[in-house]
Amino acid sequence: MSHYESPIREPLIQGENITYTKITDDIVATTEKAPPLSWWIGFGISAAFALLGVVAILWTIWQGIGTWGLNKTVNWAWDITNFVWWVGIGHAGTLISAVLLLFRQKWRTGINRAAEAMTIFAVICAGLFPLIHMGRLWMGFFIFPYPNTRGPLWVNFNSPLLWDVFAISTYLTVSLLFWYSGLMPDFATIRDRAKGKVRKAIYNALSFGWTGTARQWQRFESLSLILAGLATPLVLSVHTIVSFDFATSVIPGWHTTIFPPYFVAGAIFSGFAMVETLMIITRKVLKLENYITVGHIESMNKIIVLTGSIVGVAYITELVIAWYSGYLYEQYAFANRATGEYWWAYAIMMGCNVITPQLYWIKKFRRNIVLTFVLSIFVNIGMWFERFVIIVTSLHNDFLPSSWLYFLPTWVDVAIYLGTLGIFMTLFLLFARAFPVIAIAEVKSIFSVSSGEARRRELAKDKGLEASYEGSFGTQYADGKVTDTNNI
Amino acid sequence: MASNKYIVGLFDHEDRLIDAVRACKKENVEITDTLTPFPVHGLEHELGYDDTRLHTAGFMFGITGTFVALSVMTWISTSSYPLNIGGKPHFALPSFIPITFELTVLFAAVGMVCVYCIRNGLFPGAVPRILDERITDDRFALSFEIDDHTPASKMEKIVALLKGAGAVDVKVKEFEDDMDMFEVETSEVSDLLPSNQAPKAANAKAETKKVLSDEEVAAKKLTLLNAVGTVDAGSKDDLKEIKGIGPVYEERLNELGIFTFSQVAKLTVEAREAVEDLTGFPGRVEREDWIGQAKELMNR
Amino acid sequence: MANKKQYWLTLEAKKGEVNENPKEFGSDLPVLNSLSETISTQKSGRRDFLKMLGFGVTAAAVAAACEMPVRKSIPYVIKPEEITPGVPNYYASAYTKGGYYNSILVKTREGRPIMVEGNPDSSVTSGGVNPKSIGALLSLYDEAARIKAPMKNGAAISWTDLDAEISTSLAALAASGKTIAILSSTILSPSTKKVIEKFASVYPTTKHVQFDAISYSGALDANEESFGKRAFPEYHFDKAELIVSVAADFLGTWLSPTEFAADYAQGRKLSADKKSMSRHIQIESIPTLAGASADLRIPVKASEEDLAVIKLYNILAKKAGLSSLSDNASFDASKIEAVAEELWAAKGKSLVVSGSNNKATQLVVNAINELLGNYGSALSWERATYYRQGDDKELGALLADMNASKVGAVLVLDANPVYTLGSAFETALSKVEWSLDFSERRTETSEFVTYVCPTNHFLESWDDAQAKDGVYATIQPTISPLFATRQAQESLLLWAGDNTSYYDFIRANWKESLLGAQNKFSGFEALWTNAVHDGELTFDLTSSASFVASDLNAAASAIAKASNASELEIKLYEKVQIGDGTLSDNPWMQELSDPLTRITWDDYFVASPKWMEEKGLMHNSKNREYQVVSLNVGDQVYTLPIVALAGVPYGVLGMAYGYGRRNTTHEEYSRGENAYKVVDRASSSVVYAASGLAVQGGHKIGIVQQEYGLEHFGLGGEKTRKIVKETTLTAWMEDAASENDINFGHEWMPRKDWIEKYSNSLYGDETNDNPATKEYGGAHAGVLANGHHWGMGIDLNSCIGCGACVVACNVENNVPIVGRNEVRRAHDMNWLRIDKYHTGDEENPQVIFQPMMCQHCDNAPCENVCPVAATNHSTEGLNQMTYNRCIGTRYCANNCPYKVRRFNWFDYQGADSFSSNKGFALDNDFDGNQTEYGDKEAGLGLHSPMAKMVLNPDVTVRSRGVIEKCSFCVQRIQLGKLEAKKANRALNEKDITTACQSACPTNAITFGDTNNKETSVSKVWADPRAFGVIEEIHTLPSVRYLTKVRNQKDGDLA
Repeated sequence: MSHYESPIREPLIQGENITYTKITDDIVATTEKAPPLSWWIGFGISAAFALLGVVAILWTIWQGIGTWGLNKTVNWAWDITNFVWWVGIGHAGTLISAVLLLFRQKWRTGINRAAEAMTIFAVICAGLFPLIHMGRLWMGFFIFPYPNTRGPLWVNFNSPLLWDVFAISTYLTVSLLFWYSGLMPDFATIRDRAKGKVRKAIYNALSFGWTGTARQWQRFESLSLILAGLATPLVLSVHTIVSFDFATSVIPGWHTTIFPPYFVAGAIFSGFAMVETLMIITRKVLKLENYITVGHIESMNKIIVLTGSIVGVAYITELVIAWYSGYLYEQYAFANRATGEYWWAYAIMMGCNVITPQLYWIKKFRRNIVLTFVLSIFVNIGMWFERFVIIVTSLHNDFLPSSWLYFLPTWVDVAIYLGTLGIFMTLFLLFARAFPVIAIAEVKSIFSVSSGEARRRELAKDKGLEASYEGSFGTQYADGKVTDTNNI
Repeated sequence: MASNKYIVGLFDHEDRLIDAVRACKKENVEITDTLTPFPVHGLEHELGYDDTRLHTAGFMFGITGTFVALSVMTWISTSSYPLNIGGKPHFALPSFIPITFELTVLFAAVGMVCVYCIRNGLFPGAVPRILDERITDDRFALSFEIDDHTPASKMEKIVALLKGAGAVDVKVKEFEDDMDMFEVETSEVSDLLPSNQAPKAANAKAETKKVLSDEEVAAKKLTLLNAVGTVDAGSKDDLKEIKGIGPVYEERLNELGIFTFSQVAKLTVEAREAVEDLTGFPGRVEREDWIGQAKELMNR
Repeated sequence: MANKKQYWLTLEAKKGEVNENPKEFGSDLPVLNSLSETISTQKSGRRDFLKMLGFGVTAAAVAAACEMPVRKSIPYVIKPEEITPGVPNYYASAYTKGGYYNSILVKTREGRPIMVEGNPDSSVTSGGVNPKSIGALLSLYDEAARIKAPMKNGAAISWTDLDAEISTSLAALAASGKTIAILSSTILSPSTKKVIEKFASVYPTTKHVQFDAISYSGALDANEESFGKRAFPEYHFDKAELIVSVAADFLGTWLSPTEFAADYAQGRKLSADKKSMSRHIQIESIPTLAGASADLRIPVKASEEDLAVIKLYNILAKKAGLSSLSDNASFDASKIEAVAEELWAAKGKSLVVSGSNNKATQLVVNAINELLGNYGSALSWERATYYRQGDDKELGALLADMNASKVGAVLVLDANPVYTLGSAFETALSKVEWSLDFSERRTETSEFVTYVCPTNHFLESWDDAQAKDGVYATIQPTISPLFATRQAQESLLLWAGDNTSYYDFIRANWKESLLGAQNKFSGFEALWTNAVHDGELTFDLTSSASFVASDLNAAASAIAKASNASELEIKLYEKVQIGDGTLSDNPWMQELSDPLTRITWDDYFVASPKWMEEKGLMHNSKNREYQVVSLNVGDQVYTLPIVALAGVPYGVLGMAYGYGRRNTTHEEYSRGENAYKVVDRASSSVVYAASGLAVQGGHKIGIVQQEYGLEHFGLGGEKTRKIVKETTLTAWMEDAASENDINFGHEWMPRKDWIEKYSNSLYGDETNDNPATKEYGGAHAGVLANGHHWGMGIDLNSCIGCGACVVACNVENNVPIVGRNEVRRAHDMNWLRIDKYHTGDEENPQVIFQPMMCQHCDNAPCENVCPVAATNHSTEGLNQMTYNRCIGTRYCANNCPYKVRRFNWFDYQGADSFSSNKGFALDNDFDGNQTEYGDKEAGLGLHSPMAKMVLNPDVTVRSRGVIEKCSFCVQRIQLGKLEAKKANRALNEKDITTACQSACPTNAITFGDTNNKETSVSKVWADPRAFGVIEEIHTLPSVRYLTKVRNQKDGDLA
């Protein structure tokens, strides 16, 4: 249970004269001041893209799916590519919070709040696609198994698309609960600093009347831990189920047993990349360099190089298995993927996902903010192309060469994709304005255990309790038990 | 509501809080609540709380989800709507696993969060009793419920314990039943004890304060206004900008004739005492450095 | 009433001051009157019934055309005896446009013709149907293009005024000695000819000239010279063991393709009982359907086609000891020599045909057949056939007369000379006093002439036809005329002063000419009733013609003269779907893809891939961007996209007839160039030299299948996909399951071994020994093995790729027409498509067709993935699609290995939940890309209320956003089952035919219950040649194909 934190590990919170109040001030300040010009510019651009997306979506619903570049052979392309891409991005938040919580990785505290918000927004963007890709959106409620008067008329539980419905909605719900339960105490902090009545009322409502009693904290901790325990397999299951959309089909290039782990690794990979993209901007704009440190970025880069390599291994495995299967359709599908008409997409995928992240084996590159920013965007591009390659190259040339076709997007496809980027950024910018972008309570508890051994020793000396603090950050209590204060 | 009155001890570090808890335990003083800005580990242990049974609830909800998912899917596929789908058997268990899993997690998570909110009294629109606004910032608080029948000795003991454990502030906070959280400061009635006064004396003082005669009040006001000078109400500053002064307090000060930062900055020792006596908020002027703040604000 | 007690309510009523029971209407409904009159007079009940019905339909249609909320229902006041709502009626008829003879059954529902099927009792087309015959159905309802009332100089005129004016004028012309010309296409109807005779007897200066848009005049002239008959002999492709066709596309377009295809398939079918098949050699330049089916195709340049005939003759003559002809062929004819050797070996059992319109060539062909002794077996003059009767000499003479102002009036009947004869005719026509067009729809000619006397559509008309000696067909109306039209024959009779209806005239004519000529029927009514019921009467007769040798040396030099080779030759050819252009403004025909290029809607040049590569004209397959080139041909400049087609010889460009229609309602349908403009009917040359090749830019083409072969490079190296399987006759003789292999991992194993080892599904019982359930996999094998299990068998040996099944399927199942732009975007909706694969040499490939539709897999991948269970499996093995449950995720379409599921990308049929989408223009372009042709125009589609009358009420019209696919014509299955149930008998195989099956002229498609081992489909399934496409993925398809067997010899592929 006891965990030893190496003294040479760099502090998770940097900067001079950090106190609890300063943490509160720094983080809450963004919600109290008028937004800077850069925020307005960003918001304007994002909102414009979001509007473009909304127009394109309405156009699609009004005219029909025919406005997209799809054809009789390639029935899914940008829609499901975007869906899987966004779901993948939506994985990092919960993963950072839940899995890192379970693994007691304290460095998560600087980024988990924003990452969780990103998860929610990404899942909202992702969820949009299964909706609008339906030919008859207005009949979309058919997908829910509800008792009805149309005779016994139910859904098909064999369909991975139905599993998706359950997976995505569960994931969104659990992520939201996880995120929000963590936000309540921080909203209370904002409330208690609030000057105006309205502001106080709003933040009190948002905080659900949080006060911070020991009972509340006790249940809070328990809830966090169990939700993390539930969310971790959930995160894995969601992308596994998304991969079932392809893996359970019969189309060569889709029908692949490696998909579940490969998709999960890819999701973590792209999720972390997106977190980096956002956090590098956020820490700069909101001046949170003390809390989102180069150390955080380095840790994320380590995960990126790991998952990127896993994905790379998966790509190669696919090729080897296709060759080894001896099955001509499978062999063709993969040769076509790499060298066929869409070779360029495959090259982008390989280049961005497997090759460039290898730079992160070198510490200097891991800690280089500019490079990280560029590579994180590369990874996002690469992962989009991964999904595009899987979906489109498998479909466009499948079994019967008589149906083979080349897919080209229309302006509507592009506009909807850009639109979801706009919606995502708009929501994120609003979040950055109104919500504490860093988990205040969690950072404080990190600060409380790691902000300085000296201070603890001093305190201990004051009280003549020096012995209790020897050798560990744990606290020895009267009954002799040692509770590990590092286990947050 | 059993009582609306609390003795509140505020600490500036979680370790001191834990010391105080230990002390209370040792003295057999029952702590009503412990409030902290972040989870202080081991605190619930110190307080002797049982482990929460939230996880048990989660488990029960989860099992319900599993059962509901499996049974509904089985019933639909084999009995209500048996279709030949791609040659698969009606009871296609492997196909049911993903949804079963998802519903298990969903039920567990949603159920548990509901229980959590109910048990913690959390809901949108809840009106919490905020013992101190800095609790969610950097203060660690112990609260002790008291009422009119609470023996003075007990109160004395509590205050002494808190002081002894290094509380940066000890106060009594009273809430009215129809309290509006925005007027929370109206309920702050007294500081029972200046740092080394006896509890009893404190009580006496509190009582004394209550019977402050009109002449005394007038005299104190005069003293005060002599010290700070009078100004026209029209040129008033927003005193709320001073940390520690809220809307209610500002109103009180205005009643006493204090409207500007410059007046605050001029609070002499006597004037300060007068303010504290008249408003019933002892020690705050100095503790929160109103004078310093006011000077800063004047120079702005 | 008078005898009855009167009850009164008021005193006034009692006194009779108030009519207590006033009539609801002022007068009786005229409908009832006229109907009861009709019944009482018993004159011609059907016609009047149809009139009434037509009135109702027209009224509904006209009312619906206004923007008023109208309930489009036609309630019966008195239900006609033969109509039961919901039950279709079939009427026998015939399609005879331009000499294409097709005996048909017209299916009507509640008085609307909705489908055309082949007449299985026909001795000529034996149940097959030509795509054009079905396509003509839509023209009936083409509200926009049909001419609704007579016109003079573009203005409306009443029939009475018109009749008066014309009668006067005709009389004056006859008196002045000026010719009254009746210019028509080939007329098969003996009664019509009789009408013209009658007309000529009143106006003696009348001259009737027939001409065919695509001329067969030379061939007819040759037959006249050789046999004394201006007709064609009967061709028996089933009786020939060796068929050599020189550029005659007898399976697609030549003379009577539906008839020939049936016969041809007869000779090509193989079974355990019939182990021989004919051998077919095709010598041609532009690949045709016949060339595609040939065992050996010898590509020659267009200019060499006729020379090849001389070459053939010379070798045969040498063997026969006859003198040879001058042969200055400069091309390598070694293959043709081999053909001649084969022909010699198959003396008396062979057949040589030529598609040439050069009289000289046809003379030589006649001589070859005579030399080989083919007359009397594969060729017979027992019954002369009259499919084409045009005479270019007469036409030339008429044009000369017209130019010399000797012609007073030209009456155009069933032809479009302004389009097909071009500017020379226009010039000549302007020198005629007046002209008249009996046209049912707007054409170039109807826009040009003085008078337009709109005639009935053939489905609104009485008529007869004589396709052959002794074969007479009746054409009966299936709907009352929709507009104020009058049949041309009736007009002519009227002007000739005869007031009898044409119906009576036909009957009188038949009574007079046919009753005595046969001995089957003693009374006329029996004969007539039989003829109308069966649609066709065949009388036994024997006639013959003796061969008269011609001067072949003169012929040879004429051929040599006509065959002027040039560096770039243009060969004009006829397309299966568009034909001579009569139906080129019909969207069903336009959207039927060309069997070989798989291109819809567009006109284009076809060229050799090698030539295209050299000229840098290859298209971009990614965005379907084709190069547009312009060429000088004669005095014309033709600008068209150019398409590579394997099998076109180097230096030859093919250009189709039938495009470039102008001044018609649906001009935008038939864009492109009018190939007739360069046709010189005076010369016998078939080759046109082209020069001045210039690239004019790009053009997107609506192609439904791109050029991907079956051999592909994969990680395991180059491998062939055995999606279609073919073998040679020799191999098949040795092993009936030859080439019927299945891929299993790295190896191919015989299908029967594979079935043995792996037929049980993942969920099935591996140790299942029950043969009944063994062949079905899955958890429901027991259910599927009981009762019916529907399945289909398709004999690839018989499939010639004609596309009749595709059109039939479209019509039967209300498959939407999507238009040019949507096809360009690969949004074509056909449920049934005919895939084409090329094998072998790129310059002269083998072609194989594979009809592909929903395979109704018992382990259907599409069913698993539908989240809302909109597609699932019936207990009878049908893969069912519930349109109103579908939410359009398209997952099923992705997971279908056969890619047969079609998605309604837009509101193609006006069935949208959002009624805002008022119509779907066929040229709608949602991409924002304007075509080079400019603006959009709402097309025929199926949005006009009248066009919607063609919809099959038994099949749901799908709305936007749902998936649809082949249902195995489930409505027909249900109907068949109900028929059997009503008759309280077991289901008979004949009770159920799918639309594609009934349309197929070669009977390539069989359908039925595969659980009943006696059905023909079970026999097909049990054939060792049977295979399912990509069976190794274990979808258990319910469509089995029979391996194509080619009668190839070793040297053929060299």
